[in-house]
Amino acid sequence: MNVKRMKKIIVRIAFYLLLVVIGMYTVFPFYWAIVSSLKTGSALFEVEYWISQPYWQNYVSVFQEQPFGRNILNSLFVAVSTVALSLVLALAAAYAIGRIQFRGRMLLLFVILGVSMFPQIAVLSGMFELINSLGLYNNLLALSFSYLIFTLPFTVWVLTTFMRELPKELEEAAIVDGATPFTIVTQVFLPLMGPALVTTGLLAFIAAWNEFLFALTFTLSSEMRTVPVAIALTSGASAHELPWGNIMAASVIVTVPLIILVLVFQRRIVSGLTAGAVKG
Amino acid sequence: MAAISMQTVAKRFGKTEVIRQVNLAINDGEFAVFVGPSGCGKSTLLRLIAGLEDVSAGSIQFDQQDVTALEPSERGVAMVFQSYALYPHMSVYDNMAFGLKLKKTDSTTIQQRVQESARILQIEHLLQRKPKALSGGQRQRVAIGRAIVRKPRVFLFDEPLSNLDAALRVQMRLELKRLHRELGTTMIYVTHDQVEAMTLADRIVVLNGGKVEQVGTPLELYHHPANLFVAGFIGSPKMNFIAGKVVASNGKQVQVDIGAGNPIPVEVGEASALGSGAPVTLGVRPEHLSVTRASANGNNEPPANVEGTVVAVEHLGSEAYVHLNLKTDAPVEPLVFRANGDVVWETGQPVVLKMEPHKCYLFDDSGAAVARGH
Repeated sequence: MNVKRMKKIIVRIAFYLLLVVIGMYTVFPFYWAIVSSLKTGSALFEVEYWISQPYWQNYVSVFQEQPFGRNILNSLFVAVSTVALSLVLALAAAYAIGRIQFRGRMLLLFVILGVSMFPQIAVLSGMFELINSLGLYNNLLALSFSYLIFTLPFTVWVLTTFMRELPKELEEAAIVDGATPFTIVTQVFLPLMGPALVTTGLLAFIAAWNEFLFALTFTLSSEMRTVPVAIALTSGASAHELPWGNIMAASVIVTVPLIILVLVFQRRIVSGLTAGAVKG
Repeated sequence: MAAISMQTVAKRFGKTEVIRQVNLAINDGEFAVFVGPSGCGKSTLLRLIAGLEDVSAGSIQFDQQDVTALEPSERGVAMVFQSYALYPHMSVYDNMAFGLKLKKTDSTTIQQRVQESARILQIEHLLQRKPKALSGGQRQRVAIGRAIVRKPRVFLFDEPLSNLDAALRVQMRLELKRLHRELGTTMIYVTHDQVEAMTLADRIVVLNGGKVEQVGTPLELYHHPANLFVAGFIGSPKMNFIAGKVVASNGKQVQVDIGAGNPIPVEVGEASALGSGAPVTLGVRPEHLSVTRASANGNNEPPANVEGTVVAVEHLGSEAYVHLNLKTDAPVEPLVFRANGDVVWETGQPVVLKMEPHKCYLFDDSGAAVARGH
């Protein structure tokens, strides 16, 4: 009996050790960024796992040496508009694909999925021509539109799946009540799809917020840059100096909004991911 | 309120013909029940009337107005669904007011109508609740309330009680009946449960394989089923059928040989169509068979007795349904009869049953009923 108990305790300890290792592995890079962002230029190159004297100047100079505030606003605008656009379009598409019977429905769905399979670099030159001819070069709208390439496929898929699971009788009850398809989508389905919208919206937001390649290619001036590009192109006083302190401070600043968003919508995300598993 | 008539209505889904050539008239203010086994097309027929499905052929009229091409809301129908289909994010009040709001009714009228319907259904105290905070029976009432507020010309019910437990079902059945009396609106009700059909209906429409088998009052269907299908479908437990041959007929009475000793006499209205030797099916309901002490081949016994041995018993407390293997030349399905619940039955026990000539049904070769004598 004692052996059994010992065994149980050892298994327990091993389990928690594993958790600690996994936790360290996932959190350490971010922790290192925070620690580095609070160091002076010379202290950066000393290995130190704890900061005795936080040095806040990096956080100030990030905003002084470049239009970083503007960059954050840019990112915010691009991410929010991308999310709004893709949710509206995806909702309409999901109603059509999920609720209306027509020929080639599955084909359409797979074409949409297929779009997301191309690597971004493959469509980059074509996209560039398109953006140029629309006169959107060095314009934030270029980013909002081009980001739809990778946000729409999964928003359409997730919302279609979700919409399919809504009972048909609910729609028919609304039809008998005299509702048009628009009313059905906006007044009956939309309120029920909150969790799905939050989940997909958040994923789209994160994708748009962190996107680098399109943002680098379609913008020119530093005022039009989004955060990832701005961080990557941060330059120091001389060409030979890489301002690690500033870069780390900037990275920490732009990660915080994402963490806050996820924490705020935590419950909704979980219910969105498991939606349809049980009858609501 | 409206009378409904359907002419040669057909519905096909791809190549499957779900409704074939249905002609049907439902009177103004009538409580009509569509009944039939699953897959008989009863729900589809209801949805055609609602306008949720388009007819493939034929036409539908409400009070001489052709509604075949109209949308459900333009037809003025209200429908209650099996799953209630309440809008989960709206309060009971909003659920009931939704249709009126879409019709741009002014808010005083909406409030008045919702209050009135809530009073009829006794759900006034629930108006601010969300559907998930209601019990099954309350949800069903709200679903009915949502139909009532719109003052429709026709109420359509698609198996509305099948999600409720047995006790609640009986209660809601009575309430639906009361509602129909109070409102006087035409109601069409779909069910697979023949007890619901018998208790609710002014007239029952029996459907099978997309066709109307018979239309009539509950008692008409019970006493004068048009064919084997209706005879077997109406009544519980179902009617016993025994294949046989006519051996003699004298106008009002036909002697049927079922291979169990003496021929069985059956009273009919007109027997001239049945010649000697014609193959027929004899039908008799379990509740019309009674145990008799006389043996099947005794001296002065009535010739209508059949003899068999008990193979199974279903005790229901007040009564018991006994399955009997008949002594026949060719093996037949066990015969079921209703017996007193207090009597003990044992497997293998011999039993003699009396078949009364005026309680038997007769069906000809094609399955159509031979008119009964009374």
